[in-house]
This record gives sequence, C-alpha cells and structure tokens, in this order.
Amino acid sequence: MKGPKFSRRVMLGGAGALLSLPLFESLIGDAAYADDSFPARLICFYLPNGIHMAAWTPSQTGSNFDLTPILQPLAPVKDQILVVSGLSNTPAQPDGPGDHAGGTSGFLTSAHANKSETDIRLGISMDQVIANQIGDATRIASMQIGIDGGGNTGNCDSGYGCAYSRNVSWASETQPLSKTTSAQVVFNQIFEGTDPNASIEEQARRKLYRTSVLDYVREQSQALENKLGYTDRTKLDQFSTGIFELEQRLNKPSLVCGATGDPSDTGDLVEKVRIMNDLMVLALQCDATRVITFMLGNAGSNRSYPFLGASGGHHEYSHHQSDPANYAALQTIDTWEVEQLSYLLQRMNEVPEGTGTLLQHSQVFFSSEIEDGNAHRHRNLPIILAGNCHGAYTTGRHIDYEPNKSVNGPPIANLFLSMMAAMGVNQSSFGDNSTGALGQLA
Amino acid sequence: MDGNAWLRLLPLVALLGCDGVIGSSDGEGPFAGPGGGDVGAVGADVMHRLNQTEYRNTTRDLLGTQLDPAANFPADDVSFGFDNISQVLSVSPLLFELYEQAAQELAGEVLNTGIRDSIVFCDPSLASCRSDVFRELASRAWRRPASEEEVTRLQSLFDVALNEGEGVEEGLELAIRGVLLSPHFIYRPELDDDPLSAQPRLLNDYELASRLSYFLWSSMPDQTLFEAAANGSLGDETELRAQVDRMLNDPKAQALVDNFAGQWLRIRSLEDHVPDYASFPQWDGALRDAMGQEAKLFFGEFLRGNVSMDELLLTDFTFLNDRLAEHYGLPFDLGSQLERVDLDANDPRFGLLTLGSLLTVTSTPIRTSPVKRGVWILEQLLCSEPPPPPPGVEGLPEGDMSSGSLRDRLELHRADPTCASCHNLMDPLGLGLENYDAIGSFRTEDDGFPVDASGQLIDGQGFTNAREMAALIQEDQRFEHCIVEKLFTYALGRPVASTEEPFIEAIAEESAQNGSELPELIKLIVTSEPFRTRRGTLEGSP
Repeated sequence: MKGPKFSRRVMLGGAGALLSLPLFESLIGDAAYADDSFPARLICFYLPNGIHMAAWTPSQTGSNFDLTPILQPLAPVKDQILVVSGLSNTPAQPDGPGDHAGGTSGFLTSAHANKSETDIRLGISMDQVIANQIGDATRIASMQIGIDGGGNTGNCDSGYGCAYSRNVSWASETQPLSKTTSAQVVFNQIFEGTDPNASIEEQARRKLYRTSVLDYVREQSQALENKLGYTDRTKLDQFSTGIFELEQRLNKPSLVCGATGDPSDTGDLVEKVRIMNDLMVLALQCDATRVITFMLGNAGSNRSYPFLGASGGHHEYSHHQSDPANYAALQTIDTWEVEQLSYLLQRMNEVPEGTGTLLQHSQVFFSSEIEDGNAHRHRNLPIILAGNCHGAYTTGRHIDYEPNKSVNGPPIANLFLSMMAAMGVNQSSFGDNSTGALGQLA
Repeated sequence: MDGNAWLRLLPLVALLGCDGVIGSSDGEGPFAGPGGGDVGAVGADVMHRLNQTEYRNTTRDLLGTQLDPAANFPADDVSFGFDNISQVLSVSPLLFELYEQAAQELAGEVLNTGIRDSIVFCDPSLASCRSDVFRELASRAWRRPASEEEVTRLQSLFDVALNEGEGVEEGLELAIRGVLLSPHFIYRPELDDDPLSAQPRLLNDYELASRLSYFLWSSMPDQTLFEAAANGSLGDETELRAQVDRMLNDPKAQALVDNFAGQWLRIRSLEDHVPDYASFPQWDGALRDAMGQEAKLFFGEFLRGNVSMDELLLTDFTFLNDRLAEHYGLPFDLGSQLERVDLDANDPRFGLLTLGSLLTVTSTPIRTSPVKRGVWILEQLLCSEPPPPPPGVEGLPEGDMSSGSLRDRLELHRADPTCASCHNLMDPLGLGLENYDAIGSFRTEDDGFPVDASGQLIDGQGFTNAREMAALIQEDQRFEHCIVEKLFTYALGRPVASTEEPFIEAIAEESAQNGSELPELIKLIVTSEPFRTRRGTLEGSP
C-alpha cells in the first residue's frame, strides 16, 4: 500500500510568505490512504449582495462561450469552470422582507429560516452533510472561514437574527457554525499539534494532558446537564459537542505537513483575502480538512471599496435602480470578487497531486445569496462551479437551466445533491425542495 | 390621535412599502411563555454563555492577565440590538477549541509571570495549600463557592502530571486549565431544584451578584460583592442599591458606556464606518476617535447622574477637543484632550441627536440618509420600529445628490400612498437633521440648495429645525418607556417578555417621578422582580 504524495513544499504567497515548512519525514509513510487516488475536496465561496447579471451571464451556452466582463478574470482557468445559470432557491425566499438573511441562511441549506431574532431554526447545510460522512478522515472535519466578523451593532436583516446573516455552515437545524475571521486562528487550526521542536515523548505528554483536561470538563458537563431544564440542556449540548470533536481530533494522526511562521492578521482587505485564500489551499493541500466554507462578506454587506474607486456602500450600490453609475460600481466590485476566486483556483491548479492537480480533485462552488441586488431574486442565481472533482463534471461550459425565463429553473438543492455525490455522499433528497440530482453536469 | 394610538395601528400597514434599508426589526413581540403567559409574569431565562467582552473582562479580573485570547473568538451573534442576548449566544466546535487554547495560554501565563503569587498564595508542594488555591480560584472563577468534591476533583487533575513524573508546576497548570475550561466558567448556570419546573424563584445571592456585575461591569463580581453574597445581604433592597452606587463609581462601570451605550447609541459602529474620502477628505482617525470619545463622555455624564435622562436630547454641554471643535465650527480654545464645554441656546449642538458619531454612522459613505436617521430614532429612542420595506422595493440611487434634491425625491416617494404609510413616520425625523452632513458637520446649504429642516410629525406637531424636533421627541411618552426597555433588555440579556410590560410601565413611571436619573433607573431595574427572579422553560417552549 502506498500513500498519496501530498506536496511537501507549501508556501503562503504574497506578504504571507513567512512560512517555511519543514516536513515530518517519519510521518509521510503513515498517511492513512488505501489507494493512489487523492481525495475529493470542497470549497464553498460566498459573496454578498448578488451580482450585476448583465455583465455576468455569457450569451452563449455550451463549450463555446465568451467570458463576460465580470468573468474575464477566470480566463486562465476557463477550461476548468462551469458557469451555471438558471437555478433557483425558493426556500431562501424570506417571510416578507429579509432577502439577504433568507438567501444567506439558505445558501447551502436550501432550507427556509424561521423568522425570529431569538428562535433560530433552519436546517443542516450541504457542506456539513458531507463533513459528517467524510470528516473523520482528516484532523478537522470542516473549516468555516470569513472576512467580516459582523457589524458591531444593530439588528441584522428585517427581524431575522444575525446568525442567519453571518453563517453559511449549519451543523443542525439549530446550530450555526461560527466562522473565524483571523488568519492566525486558521493557521493554528491547520497546524495545531505539529510542533517540530517537540520530541515524540513530549508530544505524547501534551496530548495526555489535554485529554485529561477534556475528560475532567466532560464529567463536569455531564453532571451539570442533569441539573438543567430543556432549553439550557440544548445550550450545553453545543459545549459537549465541542469537547467530543476536540477529543476526536487529538486521537487522529498528525498532519503530514508542518509549518513554522505566523500569518499576520491584517486590516487590509486585499491582503487578508489573499492570505485566507492561501491558507485554504494549504489546508486542502496538507489534507488537514476536505471541506471549507468561505464568506467574502456577511449578508447584505455594506462594505465600501475605495481602492477600486467604489467608495459607496456595496449594499447601497446593489439597490441600483438601473442607474448606470451603480451598474458600473457593481461591475467593478463583482469583477474584483471573481478575481479573488480566480486567484484561489490558480493556486489550487499549481499544486500537483499525482498526475493531476489539487483543483482537478476538488470542486469550488462560488455564488451569492441573491441574483440581482435590486430585485432580490432567488432564481437564476449566479454560480461558478470550478474543478472537475475527479471527472464528476465536464468543465469549460456554460449551462443554462432556465431557458424558458418565465418558469423557475430547477432547485439549487439538486445541484447540492450532485455535489455531494461527487464527494462520495449519496442522498436521495436534500433541503426543502430537492427533486433529484442535477443533469447535464458530467 | 395621541402618540400611542397610531402605534397600535402599525401592524395594519406592515406590508406597505418603504426604502431599501437593512437593519430594521420586524417589531414582533418578544418570546412569551406558552400561550402567552399571564400578564405580570416574569419572562423565561436561558443559561448565559459569557460573550467575547465578558470573557475578556472576567479573565482580566479573575487572573490579572494582560493576555486577550478572546480577541480571536468568532463574533457573537447580535439580537435585539445587543451582543449579550443569552438565547443566541452559542458554542461552536471552533469556539470550544479556542476556549481550550485560551485556557492553556492563560494557565501558562499565571504560573510564569508576576501574577503567580496572587493565585498560588502558599506553598503548593503541600496538599493543604493546593486545596486552598483550587478552592479559592474555582470559587471566584465559577462565581459561587466550589464544593469540597469539586476541589478534590481538581486535586486529581493535578495528580495527572505527578503520575507522569512531572512536577508541581505542571500539575497546577492542569488544574487551572480545568477551572478555565469548565462549563461553570464559560456559562453562568442558574440551577433550579427541579430542572423541569418553570416556576419562577428568587435568585440566590451568588446568582444575583453575577447578574449585577455582568450588567454593570460586563465582568465577574469583585471581592466586596462576593462578601455581600456570602453574608446574605443582597436580599436587602437598601444593600442592593448601595452596591449599585458603589459599582457605578468603580472604573469598571465604563463597561456600561462601551457596551450598553456603545451598541444602543451605535458608538461602536464608528470603527466600521468609512466615509468616502473624495467627498470628505477631512475625515481621518483622529476625527473618528474624537467623535467616539465625545459620545462616550457625553453618556458618562448621564451615567454618573450629573444630568437627568430628561435632558438627553436637549443638553447645554458636550465634550470637545481642538479637532472636534473645529469640525463643528465652534469657537473654543482647546487642546487635544476632550473637555466638557458649555453650549448656548443658539449653538447647533444640543445633545444626543447632534453627536457627530451618531450623525455619521446613520449616513451612507457619500451622503446623509434621512431614512436611516429616522429609523434609528424610531427604533432606538421610541421603540417603535417602522415596518421593514417589502421585498423588491427600490432604494434611492446613489451618486451626487444635494439635500435639496434629496428632500424633493423623498417627498415624491412619500406622495406614493404605499410608501407614505411608513415614510411619513421616518422621513420627517431624518429630514429634521439635514443641517448635519454625512460626517456631522453643520451646514445651511447643500450644493447650493438651502437646507430645509422643518417638518411635521405623524401626530401633526410641527417643527422648524432639529432643536424643536428634539424637544418634541423628548416629550413623547414613548421616549422614557423606550429607555427602560433598552436598559432592561441589556440588563437581563433577553428581550422584554410581553407579560412583563407592567414591570416596564412601573419602572418608567417611578423613574419619571424620581427625576429620571440614570443611576436611579438602574437601581429600579436591579431591584425589580424580573431582575431578581429566575424562571426556566418547559420542554418545547421557546
């Protein structure tokens, strides 16, 4: 039996290039794979406020399509992407106002959010269904990463609790998985427990200590649980889950890559996005996890982009009222967002894995909570699906599932069924409205 | 119609049109017990997880640490305008992992720095000393006396290191990690004798001490408060009021400014707000900091009881430094430190509504937003959320727009009966502040248009400028009630239950009779039945 050859030379690009990665030679042969194939991996990439569709959607379908202005940055990887038009997400339609919260909470769940500021109920997200099945194979079952923690004050969107606007990964109906916005935390998550300066003996002792503390805390938690009423028990369950997951991780083999260095947490948006992109590549490349969600902003983000010459708020621009000046600003912002995706894909494509690349063994889903920012539509969603995930998709095409524009296209939940299948997770239904895996992808 | 009558009509217009503003609430009632509960019944409580700020302050006060591991915790979810609402404070696996790392870092710091002696105050090679150390630390960390069984269990955690052949230090470190990762530290459990009971009960003294300290300090009780809990004196209302006075005089009461006012008055939002450089080249970090400090110092005067809340909207003072005075166009000779200055009746600055910070964060990066400003006043000062806009409704276009044309556009918009139903509530309030631009400078003209800040409230009362408008809002009955509601929500970490309206009414009334001073209002809340009572929830109820 031979393990897959994960690349040893892993570097953070740009100003994050502070890392050198001494390898744990002795561990290389221990990586626990039964065959030569590299595992399938998933990144879900969220962007806020929809897209200026007129400059996004290619006019042709099939493999002979021209990249539109917003999609232009994808030219270097055009043959490795699918542009997907015409899918709908009707469960994401809120009760009354609240399209950003509804669209973001439904982004990977295809579930309808309970409209409340305190009674938070939704559904499990697609990435978590996958993580539940394949997460055991890696140290970290899944990672949740983002750029914005959350505005410091105020309500989120029209009577929907902020949890709906800030999280796309949901472990269960009531458990949003908060994301980290710190590059330092992401780095520590990936490389935690891989101290190249510690002896084997020392590492074993550290693990014993951590396990002992966790045992102690679990006892306390169990004793406390017996004294709690219904609601408080639900609260404490989340804590117990945290104990369980960390204990599991401690019992998994160490990572095949090691690293030294320290990615700095920067306030500069461009730099921060690039470092996060680099860290995501690193996490997949080192097989620390196989499932990542990434939020480029929170629902309805009103961030301004002065470095692009778009100094108004993104959300305000997105209520464009068909004003050409707003269209221009949106196109600028949207194009920048696609550039970030393109950077990620190119980095993944540079990682050789056997006869292929990391990108070919992965799928990257890129979309927003709504279609057009002014109309707040939950149909014809802007979607890029990149990477062919071991040949699950025939890339280099534009597919339009809503050729008859008067009727909603198929539910995006069907795409999620196909994406799960590409990860080896076969389900017959998902979310509130799936009808079966999506055709035309292969 | 009086001010309250139309409020009751709001649900009827709930689906009519508005402007594309995010950030308004649906105005639905807070959670009530099953079937709504009895009027006058206290609301249900949920076990509270320390939020990021509370964790930071608690580790600071417990250990004396300079470390701030909470800085990397994921953002807490916000509900009802605050980030301390128990029901939405959850623990994800990521947060748990960060708690575990934090416990390691903090324990390491305790043992290897000058703060060691305050925690390990005897010779830890002696078992009796270790018992004392563990008992003391756990009792403070868990904010109630640790049982002997719990102390013994910490001792056995200590023994894990000895059994590994390591020394006392390693053992101490393990025990400290255990204390800091315990659910008794991370949460604030209030335990009922019968966990399945939803019968309200009086809090015990330690639980009450914690509620008090997390309300006033966003942190754990200090030694004095623990002692008061230990000798049972908090059950005495006079003693409880005396504790509030003592605690408000402590520098830690700044937490009420940073966290309560910081969110209620949106001072915290300044950090995230970036005015357009091309439109406002004079904006920079120094101006932003001065505005933030002005708002905090301004609120601090009310918190110290120097000024009645009756004057929140019409004061004759503010705090300025040279930079802010110049920005406001006021002729004071000041240095770089902010100082309290007296304003006269002709000055365009006269209280909360003219604070630069508030005027700035309720604007877009490019221009003022009368709608956002109006919504803020309705939601935060009158607790009368306008219904949110229906889906698909279009906002105003961006780009160059003077206040003259802005008013015209809003007028047009309000001519549409669908929009008018709620814009007649919001727009006059926001347009009344049009003499203040998107970074709070005073102006009489905008792009050549003279600013018209006159208007009429929905009840027909007219005003010619912002000061007159402020006077009308201040006299609105809902204003005093709303302040109580906001403070109560923050104090309890949960929204006001519909059954609790009588408590709010009574507190508002008594506060008004006593001169509406904030310290007194805080005491009325602290001594109220909901604050001193706990009620659990039945299975299946929210």
